[in-house]
Amino acid sequence: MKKIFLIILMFLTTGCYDYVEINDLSFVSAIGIDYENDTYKLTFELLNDTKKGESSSSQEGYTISGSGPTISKAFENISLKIAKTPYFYHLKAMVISEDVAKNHMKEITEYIIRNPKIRNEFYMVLAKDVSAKEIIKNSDKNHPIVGNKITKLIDSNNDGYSITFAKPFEDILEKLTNKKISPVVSVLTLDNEEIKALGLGIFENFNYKYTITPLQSSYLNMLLNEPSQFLVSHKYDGKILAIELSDGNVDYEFKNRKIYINVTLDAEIVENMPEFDLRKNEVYKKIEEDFSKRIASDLEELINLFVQNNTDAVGFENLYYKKYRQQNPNILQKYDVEINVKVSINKKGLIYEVDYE
Amino acid sequence: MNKENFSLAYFITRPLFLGLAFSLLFNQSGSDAIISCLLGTLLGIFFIHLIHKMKFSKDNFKIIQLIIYFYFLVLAVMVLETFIGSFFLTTTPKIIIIAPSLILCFYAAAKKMITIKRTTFLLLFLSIGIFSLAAISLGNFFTIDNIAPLFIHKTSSIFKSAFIFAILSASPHLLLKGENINFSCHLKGYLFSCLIHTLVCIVILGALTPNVAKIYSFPEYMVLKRIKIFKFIENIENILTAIWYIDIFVFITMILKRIQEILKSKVLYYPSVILTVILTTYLIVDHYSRIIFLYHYTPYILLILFGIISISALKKS
Amino acid sequence: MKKDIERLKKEFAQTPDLIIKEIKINTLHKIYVVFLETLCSQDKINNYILKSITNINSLKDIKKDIPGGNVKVFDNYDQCENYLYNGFTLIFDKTNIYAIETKGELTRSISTNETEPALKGPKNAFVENYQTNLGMIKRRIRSHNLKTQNLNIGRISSTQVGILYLDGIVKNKLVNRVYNSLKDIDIDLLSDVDNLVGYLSDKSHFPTVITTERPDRCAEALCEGKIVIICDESPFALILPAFFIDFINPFTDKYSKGLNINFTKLIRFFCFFLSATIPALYIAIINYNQEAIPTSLVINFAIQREGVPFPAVVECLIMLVICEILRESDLRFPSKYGSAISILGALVLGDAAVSAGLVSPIMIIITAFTYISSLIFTEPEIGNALRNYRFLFLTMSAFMGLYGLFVTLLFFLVNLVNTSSVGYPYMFPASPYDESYFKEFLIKKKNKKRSPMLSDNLTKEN
Repeated sequence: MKKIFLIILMFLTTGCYDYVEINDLSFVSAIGIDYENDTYKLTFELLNDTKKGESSSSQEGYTISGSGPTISKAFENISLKIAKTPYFYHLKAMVISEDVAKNHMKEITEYIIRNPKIRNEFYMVLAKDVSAKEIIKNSDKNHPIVGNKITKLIDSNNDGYSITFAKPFEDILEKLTNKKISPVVSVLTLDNEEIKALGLGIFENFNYKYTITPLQSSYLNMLLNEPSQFLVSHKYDGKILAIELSDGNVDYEFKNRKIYINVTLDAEIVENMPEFDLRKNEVYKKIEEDFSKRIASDLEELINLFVQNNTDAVGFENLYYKKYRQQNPNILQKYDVEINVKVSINKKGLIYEVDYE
Repeated sequence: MNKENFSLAYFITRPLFLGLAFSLLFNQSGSDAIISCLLGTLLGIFFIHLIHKMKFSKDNFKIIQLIIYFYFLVLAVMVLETFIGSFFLTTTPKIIIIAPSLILCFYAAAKKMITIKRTTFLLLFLSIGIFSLAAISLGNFFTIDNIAPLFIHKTSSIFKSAFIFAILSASPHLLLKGENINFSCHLKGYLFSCLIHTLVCIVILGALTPNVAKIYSFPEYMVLKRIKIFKFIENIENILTAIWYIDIFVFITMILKRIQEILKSKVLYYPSVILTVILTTYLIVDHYSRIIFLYHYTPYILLILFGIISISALKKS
Repeated sequence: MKKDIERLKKEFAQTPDLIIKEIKINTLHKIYVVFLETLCSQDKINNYILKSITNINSLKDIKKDIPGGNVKVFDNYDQCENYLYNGFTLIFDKTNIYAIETKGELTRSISTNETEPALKGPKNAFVENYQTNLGMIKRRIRSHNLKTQNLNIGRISSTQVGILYLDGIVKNKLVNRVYNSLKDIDIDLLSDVDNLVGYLSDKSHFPTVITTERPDRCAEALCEGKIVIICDESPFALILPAFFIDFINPFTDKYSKGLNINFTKLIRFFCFFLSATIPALYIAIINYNQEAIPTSLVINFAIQREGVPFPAVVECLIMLVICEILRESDLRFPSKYGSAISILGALVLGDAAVSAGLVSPIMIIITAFTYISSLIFTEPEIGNALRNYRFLFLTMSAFMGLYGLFVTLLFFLVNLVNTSSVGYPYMFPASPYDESYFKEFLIKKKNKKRSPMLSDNLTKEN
């Protein structure tokens, strides 16, 4: 009996140090980082948790801004304006502006990964031609919370046409510490007050360099062996034949100081304006050959772009190291690249043809 | 009896892996940690064989045994306070974190040995269940490319990390000296536990690349942050850390039971343990430089203690 | 003889229902017929004794001529009180005392059981008569190996207690242990078999002895190698040794199909741990580790808790205490008023509290779930043990979050494993692993052997 009393007494005198009421936390759903005039400008999007009338199911967000000379000072200054403790475990997206991505990536990475209160499972996104604050403030009636909107935009575009890169910040961290492959982020912009995905942005070892077009982003996703699906169209006498490619399988070989890239793709015919006769065998072979050449030339252009800017986004150096266990820096500059593409059409849609005359 | 001995041997190899072994292994030998796990298992079998051959007669070894047991207690208290104090209860003073665990272990050590063995048998299923759940849900992020290539580090560092693995997994078996456990049962428990550790190593290296695993101080906890099931269950790493808390509970209970057998009177036993815990909290855990010292030099200190006790025990027989 | 009658009259001074009838057999001799009117049946006395006494002419014929199945002869006074109170009629003659059984029917008839209802299986239950209870068991076990050891416990009540076992199956040291712990009991009054539970079990929160009303359960337990204890004036029987799994899975699983019932068994096991830990888990996650909740739910929780003035722990404690009060009042109320009370309880706990702003809706769901899962178990002691642990879990979780919950879970497990029921370990089929008991009670599979811990005779079915 005395033991129980002693135990209860001991616990009653300790107090609860880490006890936090859930109403005393403000949930941060998206962060935007800008850099102007030697100060970091932060924008937080906070979730609104006060009751509005009877319905408790609608969620809304509001934004708060703050600034500071260093990134940790900026975080401290912005929490002076928030009525409750900021809580970062539900962070969905972080938007950085071009200036930050070009020059200040190191400070941001160091702050994020050293902070025990931030998990590395958010999406890092680049804001092109606009500031991060404008993207964070862009909430409307249909999508009241910008963090969710950005996440869903990236996920659905990745599933549909592979224009964005749907991996969290942890993936960027892996590539930055690996030093043999360049990190890749999704790029967003505002188009008539609506958020739009532009493509992928390529880094060169902590510095942002350039953005590639949506079709090139799909090619890059395919080269990285991510599940990808994209649309390519070709003109025959001014009329467009479009096919949708999926299930890409890429093999890399290193022989005789040359890199061989072998690509196999499946295709489905989507638009047949030149009205080819889809009941004949030779027509399919012609279409496959034409598109194979077209895709091979597109891929060569993309890899030349990488060679010129010294950004190895596909990671040839990494692949060489995994296979042959030797370091081979600047492999893209040294070796020639030869690309073989094989497209095979396995679906054509529901119909053979319609007589449009 | 065999099943309960097996589970006790399984749990007693695990406690020093939480903050110490994995991060030391990854720092030394990166992606070759898998090979050093396998080599360390073989070396550990040799250590277990030595432990079995030792005979502790009653009077001579009390002081050395007491030193080893108190050193284990210091290590266990340090690991528990650092781990819980950094992730679960960040602002609570460390002495309050250790208090309920200490009371629980005093209570459990006062029971008979057969109760502790049966409890470990029931906890074995919980441990393996949580491990399988974590390993299967991390399979999504696992790519074999992250682990290859192997054998790129120097052989000296591979052997050094194998030695670290062996000494940290085999030395707690000194606590099992008083039971009459069959050697094959003991060995099976040890091998099963080392298999689970090797699988954990493979999963950590595959889900986080070797370069990222080097920068964290608790990589086995950080890898659990990546788990995402059905797109809405995330952040369950705090529930899955029960798997390590059980190991430390069994470890401290066995230590207290052995200390109680040597120091028979209650006047010596309770104050000495409580004093050790208080001194550890205020002298070691509050200064990070001393934690780093213990973190780097623990395998060597354990080797010296193990060597002293094995030489003096084998000389007598 | 005269001395004995005088002594009887003096000892039973203020007892008007003691009837002493003096009958003259022939001119020289008289006999006295003594009985307690409240305990005997007048019909039997008239038919068996008084009518046939007129045919007796001499003293020697008494024993031969008196009809009646159970006639005992003795000649010292000491056993008179015992026989009188058991419903016997005493006939005093010069040298001997004859005791003839004429017991009256003072118990209710066999009815259906109320505490262990089931859809299938036999429905009769024990009553308050020792002979009837023993008869109901003997109708199911028709073997001469069913042995009974009798004890009379209680200085004043002298209640008859019987220890039943099947010779050849049970282990003798168990029988000796139970007999030795019961024979030294020295109390005034033994009113019910539950009073014996304290002498047979160790100090623990968990129940270690099964009390049952069903004779088929007793018969099954006897065939497994367990011991059954029945007691006069008590409609329950005790079964020893009892393990943890016997309280989680009800006995009536035997009458259902094996493959289908395994799912329900898993759910019950799950419910046991959930009922103890759900409030504590909720408090730990809401107040210490908010990252485990998905984002959309966490905003809902925050909105719901906005209007409540109390912290979450105090709210939880208030709800649990109100539910305990409701449960107690539900047990005491006679069932005629019952339906109005349950409606009132639902209203109190439900909408009214939420709209008054006293509790949040999620707390009502948590409390309802806790109590519904604890109502699965038929043994009330399990509910009481769970209640103690529920409050302990809640306190530790309120102070230290998930870490406190782990510490208390391990404490709970060590306590469970440490309990023993008459010397056998409590977590029997799981912890000293035993395949046949496991298959019988934990997961139902075809099982042909008895468990070696309970019996030496292993064959049950060929």
